[in-house]
Amino acid sequence: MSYFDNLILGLQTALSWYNLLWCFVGVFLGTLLGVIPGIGVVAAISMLFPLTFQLEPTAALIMLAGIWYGTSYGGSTASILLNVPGSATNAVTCLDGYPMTQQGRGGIALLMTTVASFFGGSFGIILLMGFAGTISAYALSFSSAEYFSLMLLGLIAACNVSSGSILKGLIMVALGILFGLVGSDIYTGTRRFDFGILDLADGINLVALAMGLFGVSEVIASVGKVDGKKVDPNSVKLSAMKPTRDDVRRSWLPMIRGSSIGAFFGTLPGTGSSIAAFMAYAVEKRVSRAPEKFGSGQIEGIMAPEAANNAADQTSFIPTLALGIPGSATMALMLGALMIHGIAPGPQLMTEQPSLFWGLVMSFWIGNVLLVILNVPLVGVWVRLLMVPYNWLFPAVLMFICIGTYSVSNSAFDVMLVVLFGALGYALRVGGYPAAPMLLGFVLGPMMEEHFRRAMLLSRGDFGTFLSRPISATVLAIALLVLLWGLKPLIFNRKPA
Amino acid sequence: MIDRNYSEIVPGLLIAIFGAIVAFYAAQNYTIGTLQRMGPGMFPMALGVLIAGLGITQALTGWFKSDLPRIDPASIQWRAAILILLSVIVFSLLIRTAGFIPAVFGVVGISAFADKGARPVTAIVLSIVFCAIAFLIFRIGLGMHFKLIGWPF
Repeated sequence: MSYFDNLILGLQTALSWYNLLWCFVGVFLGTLLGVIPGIGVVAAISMLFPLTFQLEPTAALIMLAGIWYGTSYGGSTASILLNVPGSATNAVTCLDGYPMTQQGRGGIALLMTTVASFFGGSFGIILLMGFAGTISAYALSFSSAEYFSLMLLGLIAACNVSSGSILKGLIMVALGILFGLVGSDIYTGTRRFDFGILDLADGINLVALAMGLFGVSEVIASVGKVDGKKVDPNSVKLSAMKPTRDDVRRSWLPMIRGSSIGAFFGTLPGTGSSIAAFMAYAVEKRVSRAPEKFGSGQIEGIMAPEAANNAADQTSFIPTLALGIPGSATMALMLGALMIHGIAPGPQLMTEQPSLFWGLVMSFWIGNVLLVILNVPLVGVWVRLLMVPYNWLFPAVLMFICIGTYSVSNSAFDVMLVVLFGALGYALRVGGYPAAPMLLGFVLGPMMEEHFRRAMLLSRGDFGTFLSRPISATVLAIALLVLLWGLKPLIFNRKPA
Repeated sequence: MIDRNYSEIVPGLLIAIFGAIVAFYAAQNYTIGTLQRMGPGMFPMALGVLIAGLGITQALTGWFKSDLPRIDPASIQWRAAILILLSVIVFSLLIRTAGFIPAVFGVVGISAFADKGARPVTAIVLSIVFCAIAFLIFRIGLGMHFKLIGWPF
């Protein structure tokens, strides 16, 4: 099939009523959960994950992806109006977004960040459409050695950039892999670490782990800290959103720069949209003629990061879909959704499931258009939602977590696992251990073991196989560099800031 | 004089002990095999050793470096943590025995008190409202089947 046929196929898939409906549900819920501070994107996706079990795989992915990029749109609303980031990816938007609200320019900021989000998102989708095919065609020649090395690089990179020390990140990855090994061994069927509990025979439920680590622990941490606030409804009327000619003129270049930076960081394992947004802001500050004005409501300071995080959201699908290697916790959940539906992730996905791949990609266009509609004319609805007190919302969040986890396999045991991982997640949060690498390790762990054992079997027990294959050796060398880079501050004492 | 950072040393040692237990358990209970034909125990054992090594390294950094951030015990939200985890435990215990409605009342009613300013009236109203919403979404909207209410005995 030619490229053009694929596009048509994708468009047909994405435009079917069924998929269109779930795309809308996804971006709607994404915006909703993005607006509410205290529920991050991983928590949002894991909460809605059980819902996708009832759907066809394509619709399931379309919906989950919609939540993912929808939160980046919605999150900027709380950042701009309340100075509270709706999710981590929008944290940097507070710096110049909130001062704009104080100056009575909040409406303009909301409109312009939506434009920036759409621009960045489109930029990312175009890159995804252009490169995913090339990469996956190349990756078809990869053997287990290459896969193992790539996954190792992904995990090490994920530890390095997450907050806190690389050591804590590595510990989290290793524990995550260990949790992933619970259950039947793929080669021999031996049940590992199940302690005779029948519910653990198939391994730890991904939903229970994610809900506990991200959902419950996040609710515990935000109780009493987030609260509904008063927002002036007049600031979000359409008439208050008209940008000046000067605003538009100053927005173009930051948007283009932000999109490029975001697209680049999105493809790297372990980085993703939060880092992309921070980098884009830093770059804008550097190229600006008046860097000292940043933080006082400069439109450049909201356009670049918002373009960057949306571009990164889209390009992060490149490694996930083309190689089957997720670069972030969210992408790990996407991959989990694929596997639960019995679809093997990897480079063969594009050729074996063209309607799924291209349907998903084309749904991104539809989703981004829907988000513009949801975020500009309907912003007033979301603003009212911001005024709902958090102490009414979080019991509902917990209820959805409980019912959602239970509904996966009607298992009360899985709900108990949520308690366990919720307690663990909160303890880790207090101790400054990042939870995202643990989820990534959990999903990648079993695949890594499989590839490692297969590679060693093929090489007759010779570790040299990882170094004699050029791609694998290069990837391992990069992984080593990333590791050393991360260990540097541990070995040398940091200068007091 | 170096200020020992116990919020790094203690967790580091605990992690190291955990890793050692994992490695030992794997070696005792599962076949290790050879490098060419690895048994189910090889990978977990190696992982346990790795976790132990990382834990020791963390403890050492806490011993020698004083500039790492420390845990502030005052920042721990004990009340929220205990009540929220308890509410989920109650849901888990009630859902198969007493049914859907008591379970939802349990999770919403108990977790509502995680916030210091919560009043019993709010908790009851929230429980009723969310119970109705959950019924509409999960039973009517998604067609899932739960026992709505029942007696455990």
